[in-house]
Amino acid sequence: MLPATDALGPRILIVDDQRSNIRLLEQTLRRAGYAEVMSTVEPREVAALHQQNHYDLILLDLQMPEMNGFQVMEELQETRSANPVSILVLSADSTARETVLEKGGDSFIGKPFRLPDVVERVQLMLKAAAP
Amino acid sequence: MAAVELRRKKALLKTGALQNAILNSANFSSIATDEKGVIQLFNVGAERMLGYAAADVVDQITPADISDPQEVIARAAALSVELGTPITPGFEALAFKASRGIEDIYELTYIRKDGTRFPAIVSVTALRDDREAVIGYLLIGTDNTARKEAEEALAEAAALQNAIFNSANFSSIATDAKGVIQVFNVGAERMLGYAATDVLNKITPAEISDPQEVIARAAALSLELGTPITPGFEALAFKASRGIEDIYELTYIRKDGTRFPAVVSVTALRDDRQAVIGYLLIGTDNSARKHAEEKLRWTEGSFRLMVESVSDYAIVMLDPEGRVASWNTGAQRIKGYHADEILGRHFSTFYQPDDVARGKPQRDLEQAASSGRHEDEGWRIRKDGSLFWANIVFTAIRDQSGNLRGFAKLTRDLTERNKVEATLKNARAIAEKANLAKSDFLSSMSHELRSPLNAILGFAQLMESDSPAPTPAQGESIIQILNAGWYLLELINEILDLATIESGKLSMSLEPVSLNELLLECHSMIEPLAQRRGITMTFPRSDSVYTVHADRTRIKQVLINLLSNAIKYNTPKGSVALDCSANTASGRVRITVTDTGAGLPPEKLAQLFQPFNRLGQEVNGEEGTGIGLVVSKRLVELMDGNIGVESTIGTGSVFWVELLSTAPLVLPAAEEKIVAAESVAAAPDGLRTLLYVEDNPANLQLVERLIARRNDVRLLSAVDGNRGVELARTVLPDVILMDINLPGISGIEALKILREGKTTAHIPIVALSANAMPRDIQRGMDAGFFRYLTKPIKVSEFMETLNIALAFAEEHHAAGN
Repeated sequence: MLPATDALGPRILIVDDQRSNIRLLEQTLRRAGYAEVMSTVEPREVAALHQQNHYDLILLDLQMPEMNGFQVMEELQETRSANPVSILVLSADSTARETVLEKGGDSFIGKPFRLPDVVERVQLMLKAAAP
Repeated sequence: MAAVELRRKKALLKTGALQNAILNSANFSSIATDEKGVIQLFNVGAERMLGYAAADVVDQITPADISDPQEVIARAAALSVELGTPITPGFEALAFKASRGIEDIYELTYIRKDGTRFPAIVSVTALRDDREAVIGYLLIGTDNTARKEAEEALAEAAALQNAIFNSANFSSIATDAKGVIQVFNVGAERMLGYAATDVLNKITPAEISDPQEVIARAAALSLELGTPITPGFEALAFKASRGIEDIYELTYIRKDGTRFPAVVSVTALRDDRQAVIGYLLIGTDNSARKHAEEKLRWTEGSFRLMVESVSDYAIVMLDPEGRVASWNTGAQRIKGYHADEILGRHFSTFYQPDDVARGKPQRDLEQAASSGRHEDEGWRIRKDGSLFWANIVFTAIRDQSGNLRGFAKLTRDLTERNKVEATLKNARAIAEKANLAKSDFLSSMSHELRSPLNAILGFAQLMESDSPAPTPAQGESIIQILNAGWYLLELINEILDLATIESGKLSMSLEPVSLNELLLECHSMIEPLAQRRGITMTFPRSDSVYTVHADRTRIKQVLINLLSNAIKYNTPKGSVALDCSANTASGRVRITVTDTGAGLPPEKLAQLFQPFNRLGQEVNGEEGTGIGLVVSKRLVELMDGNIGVESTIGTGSVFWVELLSTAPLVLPAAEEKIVAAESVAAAPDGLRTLLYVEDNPANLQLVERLIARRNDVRLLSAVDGNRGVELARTVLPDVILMDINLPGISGIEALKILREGKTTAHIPIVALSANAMPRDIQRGMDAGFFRYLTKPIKVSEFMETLNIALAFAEEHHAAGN
């Protein structure tokens, strides 16, 4: 098993069907110093991408067409024991927090968010996963 | 001489024959004695009556020896007096009279050989020789038992007759053959008010009877017996005169003209040749019975009328087979049948054919018969074929010996009520659905609005912190975008809050909240706004201590809303004062927020807590939807509190919130133990570290006091989840205590993040939460808490759990090393 991080720092995957959200999060995280930030608008690819790239953290949207965030977490559940990954859900449905935590999410931030809050949470979660 | 001799012989023969007849008769005891009384002859009759054999007594005893000695003594005494000469109690007493030639027949009790006794009539004759000297006695006895009994029976009958005749409860009237009264007893006098002298030999009983009844009786008897009977005494006595037993009811008329019902028994009195010599009329006063009967009849009648006239309920009697036996107005109204059409028909007529086919009517009756009462509700058919929804109660009617006499069936027509209920239910469902739809709409709309708003606010934030930095003009524009954006988010959140509250989905975490700390937090949050607006803020001195029953986050939201309104809708250089007071009588704490704004007229005050009634916006153009107050009101009510406002135009308004006062957390007395800041780095050997993540200072203080009791544990604390996680990573505590409702990340998120960390994954984390519903506890345990404790803290449970967690940590520590 590969270590969760490499020389370039923790690997982060952003999953959102809206490209503007992806751009916003990518820029925010890059500015905060995270270099290995990847993204997809295709929820169906997430499990396979994780299998391949062993992310440390996935930033996951909930409301997406074809496959929602809960289904993504369900798919990830199968590979998570082999390839551990933290999941931070970002959703406009602020009432979904409890369900998200029950269904495999590790943390939750409502949209719209303050950028510093996102950075702080990501740091908190990645530090936890760090050796 | 010869003729004389023949006569003598004939006489002797006759005497001999008579003697023989007597001596040999079994019906007479014949006992002959010598002159001293010693028995010489004891015939078969004597043997039978007395139980002795002749050999037992002849030459042995005298008749006195088989007589009652007391009676013999008494007889001797009586005769001594009667005859003036002393007579010995003994045989002399039995034979003395006879010895003097006096005829003597007397009653005497003979005693049998077996000791039993019987009354005898004894005739004693002296037997004399030719010279008239007494040579013996003959005692002829008959058993007097039967006669005695007959006499006793006669005496009893006489007593009974006397009793009847002298009783005041019976009128006994005896008449002659024509009916003229001959005897009129005390009972008759009392009942009828006449003295015997008023009526004796003057009138017949017909004259004290109701004449109409006498006429009617005469007519009826004429018909019945086929012979003309005169209205008069004949009508009263005719049947008796024919030997027919006759007891009839009749109205007697008293002397004073009043009347009473009597039951009269008539008997014909007859002479030896069965010729009627008169009549005996024995009467009893029947008033009481008549009265009771009439009352019963009246009761029955009015009850029947009542049942018949009830029109709201069908009250129907069924016979044991289920045929209709009675029918009231209500039954006619509900079912449409007239009594004539339905009486005698089977009650299954009212059931739908399907029900009849399935045997329901019979089943209903059987259930009523077996359990006494049976209730049913369902569709029944009217005469016109229409259906009605009926509630039916069957009651089995049984007689005193328990035999089924039939059923009372009470039916109500609930069709209308059902319709109304259905309509109401429908309306309620529609309203609920509409309300849900509205909540759903508001909720989903607020989500929909958030996504684009996220882009606006997100990129504006990026631009704000861009490098190279935006120009001052650009910066100003970005700030405008951000302010408007955050405000828009606030509105959306309020709408969502309202929708959540109205759909009943808002969960409250009610716990004792210390107002001191809460108000300090509010003050620091609101102070920047007040400064920007030039408003002076006054808060109560922190030495007043109040604890209220509230959701900490939500009450803060309410107070911030009231404070920011007071600042926004104030006059320039105005002031806002917050104050607290306790009402010990109502057990509530009142928090007031007083502003120096323009004040509100009464008609606007009424609208204040209604959604989308933004007041004052036309005055100063201030932002606001007014939803904030509506949400505040709902939130306060969910905390069992009240909210209100008083206002004076030109002076300002006072908004107030009342919350239930609650006892402050009882802090067990213990020495204060201060954890020095530098001790955070590493715990000395043997000292265990407990981290408590809690935003409510009151709870923190309580746990501090509890831990101060233990020398082996030091307590660290964090006021939110982020800091809690950071601190946990730094100091790696042995055990973590975690509140669930925390600002920022929740206790569950903090738990999950710590679980992901290699260094913190093993730390037992105990939840300590006011969310005490089983669902909350299950969710917590599912998330991975070591234990889940609910507030308020129960000290022993808390200490026990802490020990278990510490032991668990030690085990892990030992295993890890």
